[in-house]
Amino acid sequence: MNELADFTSQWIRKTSRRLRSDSGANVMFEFAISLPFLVLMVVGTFAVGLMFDRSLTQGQLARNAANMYARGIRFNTTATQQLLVNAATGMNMQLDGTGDSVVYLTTLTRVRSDANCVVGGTSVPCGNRGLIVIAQRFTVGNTSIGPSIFGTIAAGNLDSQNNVINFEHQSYARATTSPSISDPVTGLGEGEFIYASDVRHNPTLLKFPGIVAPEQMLAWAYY
Amino acid sequence: MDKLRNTRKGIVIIMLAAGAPFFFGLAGLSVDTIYIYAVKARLVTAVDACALAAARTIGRGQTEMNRIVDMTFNANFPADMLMTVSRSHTDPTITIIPNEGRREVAVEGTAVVPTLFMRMFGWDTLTVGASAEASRRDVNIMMVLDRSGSMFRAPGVNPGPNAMEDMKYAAQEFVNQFDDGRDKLGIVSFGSAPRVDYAPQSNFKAGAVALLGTLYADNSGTNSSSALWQGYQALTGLGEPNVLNIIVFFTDGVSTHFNGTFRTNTTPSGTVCDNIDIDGAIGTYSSPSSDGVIGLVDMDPGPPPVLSDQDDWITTPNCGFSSADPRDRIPVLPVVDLYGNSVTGPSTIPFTTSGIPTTRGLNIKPMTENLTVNAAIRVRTGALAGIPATIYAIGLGGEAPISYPADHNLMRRVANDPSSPDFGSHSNEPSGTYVYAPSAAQLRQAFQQVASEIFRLIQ
Repeated sequence: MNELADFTSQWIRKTSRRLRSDSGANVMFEFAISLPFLVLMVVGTFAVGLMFDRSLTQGQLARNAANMYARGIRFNTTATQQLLVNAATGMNMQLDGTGDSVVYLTTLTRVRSDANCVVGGTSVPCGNRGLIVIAQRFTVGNTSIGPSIFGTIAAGNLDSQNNVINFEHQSYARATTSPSISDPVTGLGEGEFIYASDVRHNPTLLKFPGIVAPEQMLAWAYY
Repeated sequence: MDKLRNTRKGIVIIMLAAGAPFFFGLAGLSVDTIYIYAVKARLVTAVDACALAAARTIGRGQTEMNRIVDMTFNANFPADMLMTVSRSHTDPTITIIPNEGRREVAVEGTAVVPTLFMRMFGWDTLTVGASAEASRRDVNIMMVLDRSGSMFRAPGVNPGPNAMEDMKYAAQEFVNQFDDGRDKLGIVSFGSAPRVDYAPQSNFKAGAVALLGTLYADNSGTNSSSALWQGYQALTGLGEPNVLNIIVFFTDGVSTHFNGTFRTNTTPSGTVCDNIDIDGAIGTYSSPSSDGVIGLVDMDPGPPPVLSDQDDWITTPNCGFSSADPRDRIPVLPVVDLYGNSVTGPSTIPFTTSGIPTTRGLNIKPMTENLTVNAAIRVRTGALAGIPATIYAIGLGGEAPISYPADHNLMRRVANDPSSPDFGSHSNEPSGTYVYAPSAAQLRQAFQQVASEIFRLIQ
């Protein structure tokens, strides 16, 4: 064992001396020291580039979805939902409720302050007078990724055209707005409509080792 | 220095150090470019949304349009978004496209972006710009509104506002949302017989709103198919295929009447009234089990206002034809209505003789349903002047004392709503929407939804 230890010690000393005297090896040595930084820089650039690309795709998806929605496209058929999947290149969006992305399309309106509803056969002031409510909702993708920024509407509260049933009165129709995103919509007038999309994406493929990636990406658009 | 020049020790470090400013400068330029591009993408979204919102609200005047555009811009591009120094947009500008029945709305936006690395070269901020245009088609609308007897009811409160009053108010709000100067709007109201109350025209707001205020529901039936057709005739009479032609069809219940040419029978005594054709409206009662027949009703209910707009029986002077139940003189029913629409369709006609429907209430109901569906198909396929129209249907639910709500499948078929049972075979025709208001108090919401759908379509 001692012989082996002596041999190893001598080999390291010799190699070290040779490296110090050999300028070619020295370059390799310095390059090896620099390499982690260079690799980190390249990987970092690549990751940021991918993240930006994904962010751009997501933003365009939100824009295209809201644009089509505002023009009257109803996303309750496979054909129309496929339009969104096609626009979500690289975002692993699936129509079967799986995948890494979800698109919510929401019609928001402000209930008139003088709106009356019929409850139990009697005309009473609507419960949502003056409030911003969700009038229609379409969902495409994996809802388990996260809810819409405007709140969740249970399937049972939507009619066959995805209109929210009795949205002037029922509390479930009230939009839960995120202050940083939807404050400007507080300017929505009574009886006015605005069409919104919000896209959530779980960027699993962007999570490089050692690179901090967001758990979830969000994009939205109002039309 | 000689020693340094003559050795290769540390050369990599030196090269990296020498190249660092260049590499970092390049990386900084990339970061700034990416950043600016991200701001630009957001700005494009904001101005695109503004242009579309402006096109949607063009009929509400420049002030309102500016407000909506401002709100939309702020919603898409809030202050401080993406660390921008400032952002702004122009008010929308409108350009009329001659002879095409549309207008272009343009909006421009700018954002001032602080640079991260380029400031080292003297550029502290950069201004990013974007512009967008949206097209707004002119729209011609016929409102076809039910004023049958069942519209006179007082849900919930008694005495109180009846369904007719709620409908009138909702319709007036609907009218006020369109562009008085460029769009055209008319009104057909119907009971047992329809009537063009307000011919389609521009500068309609004051006149149409006033007319709606005079409508009155009285003791009459529901002649949906003829009303739909007369609305279509009035619409196509404008002769404007380039604009968007729309029919808004409202009813509160089942269809009961239709217009036709009815042939009298031969009587044993023989009169000059034997075997003659009489134009009129025939009908039955709302109850699905009723076999009773009502008719013939005069197809011209008289000019509005219609405070006594009840059924006028055709008496056919000198022919002894004065009964409200015409079965003694009219034993069978026509196979097409007065406008050429077929009486056969998805609803089965139970009683026929050699394929000809006999005059029974249980036949009239499915016939009126089929006629309404067939008239709607011809409307959507441009049977007159090659001008198709999109139909939006609004149905009202049954409330005491009226227990027969609008027929959902019939209304879906009329609108060619994607949820219609026949949508598959009519998917190439204009598709509208069916909106159901379970109670009269929800009519305003329903009309508002239809208005929003139309505004989406005219962009």
